[in-house]
Amino acid sequence: MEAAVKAPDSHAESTLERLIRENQVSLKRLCYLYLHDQAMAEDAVQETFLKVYRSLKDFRGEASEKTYLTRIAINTCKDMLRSAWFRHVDRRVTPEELPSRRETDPAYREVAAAVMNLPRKLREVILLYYYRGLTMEEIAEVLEISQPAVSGRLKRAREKLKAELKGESIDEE
Amino acid sequence: MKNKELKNCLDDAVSGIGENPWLLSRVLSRAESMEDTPVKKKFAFGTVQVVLTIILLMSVGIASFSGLNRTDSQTDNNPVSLSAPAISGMEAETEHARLKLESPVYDGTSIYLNWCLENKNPEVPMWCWAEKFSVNGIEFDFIDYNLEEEWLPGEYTEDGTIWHEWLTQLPEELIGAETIHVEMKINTSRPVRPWKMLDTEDAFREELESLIAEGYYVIPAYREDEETYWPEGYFEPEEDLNVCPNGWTIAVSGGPLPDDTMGDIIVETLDVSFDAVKPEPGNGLTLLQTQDAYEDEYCTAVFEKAEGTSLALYLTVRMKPKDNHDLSPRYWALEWKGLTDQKGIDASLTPSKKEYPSPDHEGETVCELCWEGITPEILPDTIYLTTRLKNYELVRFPIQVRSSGT
Repeated sequence: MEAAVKAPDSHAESTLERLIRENQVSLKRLCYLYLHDQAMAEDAVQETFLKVYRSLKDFRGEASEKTYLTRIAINTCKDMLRSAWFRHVDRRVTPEELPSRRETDPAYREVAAAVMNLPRKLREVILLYYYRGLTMEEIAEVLEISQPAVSGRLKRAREKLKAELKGESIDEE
Repeated sequence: MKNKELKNCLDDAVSGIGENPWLLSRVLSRAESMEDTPVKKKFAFGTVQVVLTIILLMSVGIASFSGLNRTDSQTDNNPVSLSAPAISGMEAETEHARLKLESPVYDGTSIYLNWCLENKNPEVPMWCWAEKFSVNGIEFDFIDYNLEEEWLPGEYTEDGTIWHEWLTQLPEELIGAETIHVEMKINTSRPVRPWKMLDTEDAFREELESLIAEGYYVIPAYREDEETYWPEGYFEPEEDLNVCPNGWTIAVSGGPLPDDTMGDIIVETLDVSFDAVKPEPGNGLTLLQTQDAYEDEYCTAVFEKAEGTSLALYLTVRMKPKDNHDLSPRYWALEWKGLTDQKGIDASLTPSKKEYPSPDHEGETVCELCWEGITPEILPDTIYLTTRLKNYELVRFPIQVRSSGT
């Protein structure tokens, strides 16, 4: 069981510092995988931590830290995707344009691009389940949908990825 | 591929994304800059939005009311002012449907439409979509606009009416036109066969095929999970999906469904048109006061447009970076004292429409911003346009909506 976010007023800054230190990179990568844009991902993470900082006093510790941060980050990304600018831009990515280190296996890039090019609702469950490591229950909480809906979307996402990756299947567990 | 492998794979593919050492200080500095605005009253942010919507609808309603009152003295092709939009051919009727435009409003940049579509036979489902929408002969692409509606017996009003509202900005070449002529073609469709609603969790395909074999037109139950029907465009088309004439895709696995899945469909077209003219300053159009130029360490900014109408607030800002600063403004918002969310935290309204270069753009930028439903009447004397630059500096421009005390 993960630690819940607990931040007495006087310790808000140190709590924020810890949360940023521990989660910044993974959240930024999650936002990039979701938004397909590095600058936007950077902004989404800053916005996420700002929201977290301003609501620390009200947080009751009912959700795990990871779920709490992920929910805010995903909702921030969704707000960005609703903007007119995003709707009118082709957001598909190619493996070559991913921000990888030079030594990254090209096959990895292909898999990542396939995940990023999934329809949004399928992309988000894959990212939350496989990348963020949330349980079905936590994903249902983050996305505010039922667990069967999470399971259904994961199934469709795996099928679509398998077809996209020419037979490379993704394990359920 | 194993669970862990996929995570590593994704992590490696985006390994170039690392830490921002200034993130903590940026967040704290933004939090601090928001704290100096006193909170006067707590409003649920949803309530603010509802109030804004009501005000918008009321203002549009008033426009509509005065327009309808004055139509007796107007000829069909004689455009009148915003408060009394000209009405010509505002109603259309076919054997199965009746369409009536209630309150079109044009403010020089955007257009607001409110129409009522009546299904004359409410026992039969009906779908409607726009076949054509043109302004001064320029046709809109409907992919971007939500003009589809569905009428299902038992799920809509008993009298068989569908109400639809639409507010959108016109294409650039039409903005500012003194007069506009709008033509609309709304298509309706209805099944010829007897129909049945399908909403089953299990054996979706078997149930579907069985009903089709019995000669039913099967109505989609909209769900966001499992196999079901999806509005077209919701998912990318797949080979084994079935696109129906009414614009639905049956997302059912196991290969295509029979060719006559939907059977015959009755399609009818309703034509309506009207003219309207742009309002004058002081009569439906408020020109907001801005400085000639705003200047700070990083940029200078000039407002090329700062207008409020009965539909929206429009701001166009030209920003020039100084001393080769890497400038890329984004996250525009509108703020004013007392605007708070449900937790009493200062709220900022992000624009409903915005056009500006991508964040990678460098150099001079022109940003066109619009806040739909934000009208001068509901704003305080002074508001602030805020943005963050690519270097995360927050820039805030004060704008005078009206002189204090007036």
